[in-house]
Amino acid sequence: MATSTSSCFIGALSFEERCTLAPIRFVQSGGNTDSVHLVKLAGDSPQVAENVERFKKVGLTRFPMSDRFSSRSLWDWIWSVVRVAEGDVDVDATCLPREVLGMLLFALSVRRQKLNRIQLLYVSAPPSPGGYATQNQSLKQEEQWLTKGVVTIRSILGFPGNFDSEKRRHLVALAGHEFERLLNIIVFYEPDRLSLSSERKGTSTVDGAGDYSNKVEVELRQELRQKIPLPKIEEVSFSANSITATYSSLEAMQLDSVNENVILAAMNTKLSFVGAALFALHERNMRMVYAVPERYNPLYCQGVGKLQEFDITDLIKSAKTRAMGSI
Amino acid sequence: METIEVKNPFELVTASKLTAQEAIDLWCDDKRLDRVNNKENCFINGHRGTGKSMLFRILQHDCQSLLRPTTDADFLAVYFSVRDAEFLTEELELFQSDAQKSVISESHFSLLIVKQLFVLLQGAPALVPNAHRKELIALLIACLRNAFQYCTFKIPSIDEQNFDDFLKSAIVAIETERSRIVAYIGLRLYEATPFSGPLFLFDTLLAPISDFFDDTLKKCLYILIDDGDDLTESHTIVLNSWIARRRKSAVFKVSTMFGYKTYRTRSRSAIQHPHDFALYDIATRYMSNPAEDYVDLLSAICTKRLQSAHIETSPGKTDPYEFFPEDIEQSRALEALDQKLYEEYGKIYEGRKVRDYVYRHLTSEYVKQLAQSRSPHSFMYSGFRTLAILSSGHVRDFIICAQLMFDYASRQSPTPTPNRITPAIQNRVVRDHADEVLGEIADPRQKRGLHSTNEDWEEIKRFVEGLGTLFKQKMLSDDSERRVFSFAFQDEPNEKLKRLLELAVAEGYLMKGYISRKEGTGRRTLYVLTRRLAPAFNLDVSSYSGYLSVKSDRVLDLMQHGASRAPDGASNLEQMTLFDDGSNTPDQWVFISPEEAGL
Repeated sequence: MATSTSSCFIGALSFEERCTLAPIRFVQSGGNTDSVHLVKLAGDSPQVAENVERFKKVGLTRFPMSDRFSSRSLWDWIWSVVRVAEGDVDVDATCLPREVLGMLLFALSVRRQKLNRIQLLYVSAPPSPGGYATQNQSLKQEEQWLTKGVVTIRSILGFPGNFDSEKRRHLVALAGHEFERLLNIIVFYEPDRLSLSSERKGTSTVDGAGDYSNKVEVELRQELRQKIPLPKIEEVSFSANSITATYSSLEAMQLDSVNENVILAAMNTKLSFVGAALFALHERNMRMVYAVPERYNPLYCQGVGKLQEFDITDLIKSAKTRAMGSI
Repeated sequence: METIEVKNPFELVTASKLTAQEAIDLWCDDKRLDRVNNKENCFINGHRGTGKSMLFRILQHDCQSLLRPTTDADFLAVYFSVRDAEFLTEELELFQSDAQKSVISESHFSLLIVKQLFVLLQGAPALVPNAHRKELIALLIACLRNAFQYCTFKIPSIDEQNFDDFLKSAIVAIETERSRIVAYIGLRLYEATPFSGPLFLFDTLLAPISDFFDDTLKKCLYILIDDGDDLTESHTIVLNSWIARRRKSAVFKVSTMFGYKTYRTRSRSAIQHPHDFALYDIATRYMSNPAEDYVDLLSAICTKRLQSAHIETSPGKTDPYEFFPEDIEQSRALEALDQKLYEEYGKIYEGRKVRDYVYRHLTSEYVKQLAQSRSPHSFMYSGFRTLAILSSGHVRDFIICAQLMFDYASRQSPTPTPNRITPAIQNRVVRDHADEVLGEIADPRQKRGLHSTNEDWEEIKRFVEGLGTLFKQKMLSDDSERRVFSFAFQDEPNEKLKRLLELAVAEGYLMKGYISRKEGTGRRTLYVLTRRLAPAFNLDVSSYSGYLSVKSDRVLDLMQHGASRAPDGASNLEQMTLFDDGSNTPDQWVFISPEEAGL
């Protein structure tokens, strides 16, 4: 694994077994354990304890806790790691919540002058049996969910956008398996324009995921009409399995963030989220939003899929954020 | 074959997004506007969908010009939607711990409001007559010079020759300074530099400009802050500080959903009602006048919407009462029961007491009959008046239910556009809606940030269920007064109870009213269960004259245990008190609205 030379590895300790694969490989291939920064966002549970044991076996023992409900707490942890990062950085996106991932990408873009190569790692869900709870037929019906409840809806730190009372709101929503959270975001923002779609056919990271996203999209269209004055729904094309394809698709939409308050709600895969966040690091007028879930399903994803690596150096280096120390 | 698309007349609209003409076409309610249209600072409290934004829309210049084309208004409303602006960002939230937050927030807020004013002038430059344009230009330039004198940045160039160009350059200059502040707030996440840009405070920007409008153009500026609860705390304190100044040239009208963060000012004192501002609780106003005002308002809204969809309920006529008819079978059964009770009570009571008791007991006896036949759910909620009262002041709730009813009716109707909604459809939709409202109580989604926990909402839900069950048992009792939908405390509730009740009020599950002795002495707080929940408990919504007088321990018990603690024969435990119908009790109380209570 090429990441062993990196001076900084950032990931999460989670209740999912998937969180262990990339950090352990990093250490086993010669990476320094002191370079590994794994944040603990989940509460204690048998699954978390099991993962801690797995990490301990390779010498990873530090898991600073951060409060996922507090953006201040999340940012303090992220900035404590990134403000001193130099050289090559690996980001394991697998179990970092989208909000943390967005803040992290923003922080890296601010620190870009000190960084060489930035690599994003992602461990996909395994195919059935196992995988995402929403698709896992071995689970009971009432267990087939990813998250429940929405505590709050907020902009992601680093992506405030440039809003103006005079402009109309255009919400671009990438639908995935999270019906409730995306519904809440759309209702909260009550957009004048709504672009809403599930992933492009054939781009799912795991078999059957696209069908489920599609179902969510259809349900959203039905439910929304009862909640808000609903504009004509436009399409948004994106790829669940590609950062760059999602970036390019959003770029091709020619979103008018000068004349509209553009809001991005990327609720499909982590990879499409990263594509959207990188895009928003270049189109700074856009706001990225996040619905903080009340709780996660402990059975969120069972098993471990394939580890993939994506080089995002160029997209981070060319970000339009103000680099640290540039003023 | 060509498909005819049926337009649902009850599609939701957002008031702030309506054109002036659309707003005027939909506007029906002049009485509520009178409360707000005055030169007083004012807070308008009301839940989502009660019509606050519509009041603000109508106050704006473009609507006023259409409504009163021959009158030169003595005010100019500057609308500012907090939700549409950049307030809802985490950067601003984190900035709340910054030492510079007060002064930066004031500058930011001043710029945002003045920008809105100039955008408004751009669309209607005639608001500033030619004779006074140079004064305004000179004033803005003076404000800019003053603000820039202590910083190293160059004063922006403002066009002084052409008024249109002046407005354009003024907006660009203001926008540049606003962006400078926003960028600075973002930068504070990772850079510890002090702010070096110009500062625009109330006294150095907003006040001189509003004085110009008031003194020279004889127009008081109404600054309409929509969704005031969404302001950050530092901006809220800035706004309160401005309100506390009570400047006659600029008055602030703030809409909230009962979640206004604080009434503190920068000097740490608090603004107070009625000294600094008037308070208008938009949803409870109709409670003081047995629902008629609100029913009339909804009737007018409904008529306009049906007419805009070209729906006639009978030839040449559009009548909401015909569009939402009552269930004939139930009406006939009630008529027959009315006759029967009249005969029976005539043997027991005398004079007007006979009619009085029949009126009080009619629905109760009817529901009892249904309960005996094991079909209490066959009570039909139908008829326009019933639907209107069920929406409990939430216009949006009425519209949402009517929209669904229309959808169902369209599918069943032999014609593309139905001209009435069957009682069965009405009943089904409002019952489902009530279940939904009840189910949502314990759901933390979309609850506003009021420092509440899931446990709080669980307790509130249990309490509401207990209360609804209690009221239902009261209705099915043989008591003299059975029509109860509210309660008041016999003792002083503790802090926890007060907080939970405030949460329930803030989310619209309870409404707060006041009762006063008829002679005007004494005042008690009355908590009224929202009628939106009536179908969930099979409660009659036609009329309520009594309230339960309860001890706070009893309410806490309901919060802990819910409906299981609402015993059969509620009158055994609850003291019943009457108001509004005089003769039965020496302790005569009448309902008064919060405004009448001087709150």
